[in-house]
Amino acid sequence: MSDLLELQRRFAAAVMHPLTKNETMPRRRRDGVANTSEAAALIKPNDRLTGFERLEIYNRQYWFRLYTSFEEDFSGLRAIMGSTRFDRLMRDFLTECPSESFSLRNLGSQLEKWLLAHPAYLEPRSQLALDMVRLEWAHIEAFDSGEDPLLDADDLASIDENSRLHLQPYLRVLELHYPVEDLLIELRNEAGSSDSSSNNASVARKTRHVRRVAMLPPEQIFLAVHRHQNSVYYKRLDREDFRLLQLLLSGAPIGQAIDFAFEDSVIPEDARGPWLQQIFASWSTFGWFTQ
Amino acid sequence: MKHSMKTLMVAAAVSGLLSGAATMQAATSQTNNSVVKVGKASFGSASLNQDTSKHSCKGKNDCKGQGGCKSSDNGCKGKNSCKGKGGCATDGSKHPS
Amino acid sequence: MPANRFNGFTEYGVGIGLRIPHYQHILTRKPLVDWFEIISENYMIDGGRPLQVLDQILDQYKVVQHGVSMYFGSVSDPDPEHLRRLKRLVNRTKTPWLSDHLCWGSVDGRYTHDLLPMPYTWEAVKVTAERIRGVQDFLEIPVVVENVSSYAEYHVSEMTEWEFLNEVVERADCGILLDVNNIYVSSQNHGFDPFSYVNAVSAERIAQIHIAGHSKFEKYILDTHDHPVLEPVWQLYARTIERAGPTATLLEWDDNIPTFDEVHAEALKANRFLHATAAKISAPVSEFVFQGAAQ
Repeated sequence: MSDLLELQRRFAAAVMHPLTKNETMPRRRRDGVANTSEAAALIKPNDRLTGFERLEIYNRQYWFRLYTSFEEDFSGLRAIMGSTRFDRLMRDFLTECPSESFSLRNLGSQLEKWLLAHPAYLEPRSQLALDMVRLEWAHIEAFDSGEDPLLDADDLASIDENSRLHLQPYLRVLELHYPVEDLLIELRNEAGSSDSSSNNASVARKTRHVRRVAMLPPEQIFLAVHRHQNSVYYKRLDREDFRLLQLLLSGAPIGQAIDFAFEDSVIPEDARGPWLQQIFASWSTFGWFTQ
Repeated sequence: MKHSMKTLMVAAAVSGLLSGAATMQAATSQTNNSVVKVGKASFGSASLNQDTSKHSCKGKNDCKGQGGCKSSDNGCKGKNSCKGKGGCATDGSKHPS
Repeated sequence: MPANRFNGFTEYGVGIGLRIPHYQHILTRKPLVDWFEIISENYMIDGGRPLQVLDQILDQYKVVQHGVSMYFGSVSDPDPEHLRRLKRLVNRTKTPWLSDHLCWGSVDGRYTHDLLPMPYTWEAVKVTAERIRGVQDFLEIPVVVENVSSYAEYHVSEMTEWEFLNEVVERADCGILLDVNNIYVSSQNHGFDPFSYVNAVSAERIAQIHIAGHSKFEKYILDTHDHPVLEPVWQLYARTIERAGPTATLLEWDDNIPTFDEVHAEALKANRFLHATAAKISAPVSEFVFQGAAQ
């Protein structure tokens, strides 16, 4: 192994290791390696700082930067969990799933998967918290995913039941159990409010918002997260809308998607034609269908 | 579903697609050609305002401080932390019912 | 006329970093600004508002790309997806040159999102120069590398930071983005004379200069970009353009960002040095000799 690679691995191992409760670099790592001796071996001291203290600057800023980014991405989850539990989740998730992307935009890409494998982190509001994670990640995806050209007249003329309709890359559909989109909007309004009330009062109001939603009985909620004129919107869907979009997004032909949408549907057969016409017209005006 | 019924259903969907596309094109054309300043009353806003989408209201100051290291951070420059998020309309006016 | 072969953008004047809190002001007021520097990574996305804003800025201003995650000094190969997205952005912005840092920050596919200091070794010179050449060949535009602020020095280093910088840019045949604030910060943290650095760096390769503010703590200085430029940094700036000639200059202000006008006014303070140097250059040769060329 090259000396440079070995140095970078050793330095990164120290920098990416979790901080102590006091947000300092631990003297000994979880794997037993002593940071004190690693720092002494790698880093020169100066007249003011030891090698350990110099390495600690990088250790701390690594975590502060990741925490800030993660908190910004999942502020709704933080409100649901409370800061102590959220901080523990954040530390353990980022320790197990460090960034593998050049951009911090992708820092939370594995969070839902990780939480499904570690459900204890979300208790006792597991379903509400998981719903929020899905929504907040869908928001990130909807915000800066691509936008493809719309269907032209020739495309439209050639559609039959075997056609596969493409949808905008920014469109996400979610099946949820709580109205987390309303909660998230309330929390954001709270965070963005310019009134002069204290931070404590603001936190208390956020807590009340969360408690009110958490007390609701779980229900089936379908949501589209989409973008229009470069703003992200949340749109409630009916069961049939959701099933139709879900299958179209999976690449199924339109005929098959329609069959799936109407399985066990309460929409009377004679109303289905007008219903389809109306929702396809609506989605088309949003620009969701692409070449 | 019977084949004839499915054909009708697909025809209804395509009919919707066509009418939506036509509406969109007409509105875009109207917006582009209008000599009157339309401001925010453009087609897109209008179409959403008749719908039930809720603006996500993510604050316009998202990415504040370009990713916000704690104050004693190195490398805060640009920091690759401002992931380009937070693009709510700054007027925050779109709350269709 | 360019002051050196890497400094082809002498006429660029003084720019500022494009930051989100200023979007509205720039798009509605259209202030007169020589150029904007963007953080490449913020626009290496597929769609949405950031790209829309960028396109509006590109319609009216000169834009130069500055990256924060190429990590020229990392041993691992660059992520092909990163390079692909970067090239797509380069084609969009038509940036005349592209800068990133002389540092490392990722290893074995894991990213620290920090600008970590290099060990100043011959092996690191070779690895870093090769990577810069590879990126430059792929992007097909001039690449310039920036010195970073640092808080640690390695036992294994075999040369000074400025010797390392000179070796790397010589082997990579690339330009330098000299951040004089970073030089000052590192000089205070490591106990060297910042003018030794400025006087030793290959002046003929300086393509761009960064200026910024920093924060002093009890035992070290941090590169926080949240203050006006401090006087010692202006002195280093003056010395740099005395050696390199008038050079595209950019103010970075990334935290506690004040109004656009305040940031712009701070940046324009650089003009007093640029104009003075330009006046010297236009004087008869017998009155002024580039000190950089003489060293």
